[in-house]
Amino acid sequence: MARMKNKKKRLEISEEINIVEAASEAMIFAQIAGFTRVGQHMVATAVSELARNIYLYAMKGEVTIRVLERETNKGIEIVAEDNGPGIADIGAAMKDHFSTSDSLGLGLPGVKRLMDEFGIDTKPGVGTKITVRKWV
Amino acid sequence: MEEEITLSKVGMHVTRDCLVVPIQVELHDELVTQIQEDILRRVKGERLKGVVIDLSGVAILDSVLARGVFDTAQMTSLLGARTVITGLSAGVVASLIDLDFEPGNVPIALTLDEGLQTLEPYVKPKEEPEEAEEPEKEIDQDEKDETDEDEELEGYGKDEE
Repeated sequence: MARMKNKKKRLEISEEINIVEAASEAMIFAQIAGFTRVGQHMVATAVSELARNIYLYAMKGEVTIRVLERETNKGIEIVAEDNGPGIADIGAAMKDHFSTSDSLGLGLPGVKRLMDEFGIDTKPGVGTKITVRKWV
Repeated sequence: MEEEITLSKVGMHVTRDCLVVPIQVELHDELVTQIQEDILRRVKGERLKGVVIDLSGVAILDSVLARGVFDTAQMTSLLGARTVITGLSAGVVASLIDLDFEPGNVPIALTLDEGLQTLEPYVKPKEEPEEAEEPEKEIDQDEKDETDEDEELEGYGKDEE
């Protein structure tokens, strides 16, 4: 498993099946980064939630996964990006059980709990970019 | 991997009036809907009293997929059957907790066998071969010990990797 530092993969999300594909890919990256089985599952679940939001709210977008490396340990970074409607009220979106569609909510608080770092950049009418990281 | 995921049919079988649904592929929305329909149709059509949905082959269960599976369990109760969900891995459980998932009152068991046991008041009891004489066990003690040890080591390796 040498030279994984620059390993990076960009996945398009435009069909429902892409959600599980992205999540499965994230699981492989998490394994490469050295996460335990539980950690791998958590990363994959977070990606599933993020990809689902893209599919549900923006119709299409992309998820980029890469392995991070710092002095003490490795980690994983996921960037979920779309040019969808954006989120008008981030405060509300970060509350549990908030939803604007008929499904079960954005799941963003859950994603935040599954990962170590969470960043969101969104503008109504322009799009949303969510960056999350988790360290081994 | 792609081929495996697009499999829409999940094998199901009936044992002791109970529908056993072992899911050995990663789930996606359409597949959950398909499985849900299959289960409800069979429970109703065959007047089954119990269902075990075994998720031991599932690594990724996000909030929507989990809702689909747990809703299926509750739907079967409206058809007079009881559903147990089994085989949730530690990673799936940890994720569901972080997602603040509410499992409702769906019974959970660790393994498929335990799931069937949970359903025993509702399904046919396990048929014990009454007169079956217990054959003399001739297990080479050394060989047995060796196997156990190997399994244990393998288990550790997986988590540490």
